[in-house]
Amino acid sequence: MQEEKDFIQELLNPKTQNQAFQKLLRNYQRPLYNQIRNIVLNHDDANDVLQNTFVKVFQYLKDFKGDSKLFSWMYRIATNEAFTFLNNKAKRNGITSEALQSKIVDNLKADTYFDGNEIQLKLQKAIAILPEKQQLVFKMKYYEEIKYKDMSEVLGTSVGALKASYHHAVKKIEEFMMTN
Amino acid sequence: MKDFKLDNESKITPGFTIPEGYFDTFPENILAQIPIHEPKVNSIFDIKKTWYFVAAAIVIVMLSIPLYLKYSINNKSLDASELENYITNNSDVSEDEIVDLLDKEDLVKMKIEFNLQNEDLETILSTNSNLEQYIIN
Repeated sequence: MQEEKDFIQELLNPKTQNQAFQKLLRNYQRPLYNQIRNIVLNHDDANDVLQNTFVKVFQYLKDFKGDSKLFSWMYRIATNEAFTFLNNKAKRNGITSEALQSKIVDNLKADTYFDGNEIQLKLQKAIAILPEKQQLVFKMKYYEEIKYKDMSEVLGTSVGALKASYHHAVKKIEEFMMTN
Repeated sequence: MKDFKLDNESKITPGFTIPEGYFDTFPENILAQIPIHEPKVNSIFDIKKTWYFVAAAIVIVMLSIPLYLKYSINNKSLDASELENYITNNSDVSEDEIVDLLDKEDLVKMKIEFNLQNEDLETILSTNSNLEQYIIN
């Protein structure tokens, strides 16, 4: 924890800021990209959201109180940015977020940066029919293998509720996989 | 209907790919977008430049010392009364020797206009017993 406090001080100190921010980018760009990509699905959109995320992290770093872990705080920003991006995109297209999600999944096969096989594509389709929160919990737990405790800090939901959410998501997914 | 259990299946990944080298260039893109403080790096050229300035400053100071000494001596004008007092109190030179050193020009400079009345002159002559001796010599 002290190590993280020292690192945050390095990020705020003009003398050490550049190097510290480069370290932050190196350490977090991949996990944050994965989190965002799992939500927006498309690489170009994920790239835009990831850039916005790091710009905001830099912008609000001085307000970071250290109440939660730096990792959780950044994940929260990335997740919010990704959903805001999807909602804005849906609005621009005059459709609901769910409809947009379904459309993106349908287009995955033609996506240059998707090389999933039949079962991978089927799982993406199964996830797309879940409620937004269950989708997020499932993706964070199943794809990214994030611990419930950390997930709880990111999403502000109790560990028990997250476990229940994941259990429901798995049941629905298994049902979809069997029937489709 | 085939039974499907996620736990029984081998891990299914999302199936996403990313452009090659994406994470190598991403940090640069971000750093170009944020007003981050650049660390001040002293390059070898900057260090050389600093030493040039130091050398130039030393040369200027060294050249300035003789000039300063020269002007500081010239500016110190001798006070006439001080000099006179010094000669009076410390010199072994006799009055006659000083008189011998005076030329015509010096005498002109030293000329003082006395506005003496005849009565004053008579008084001086009558009271100074040595005058007769000076006149004879």
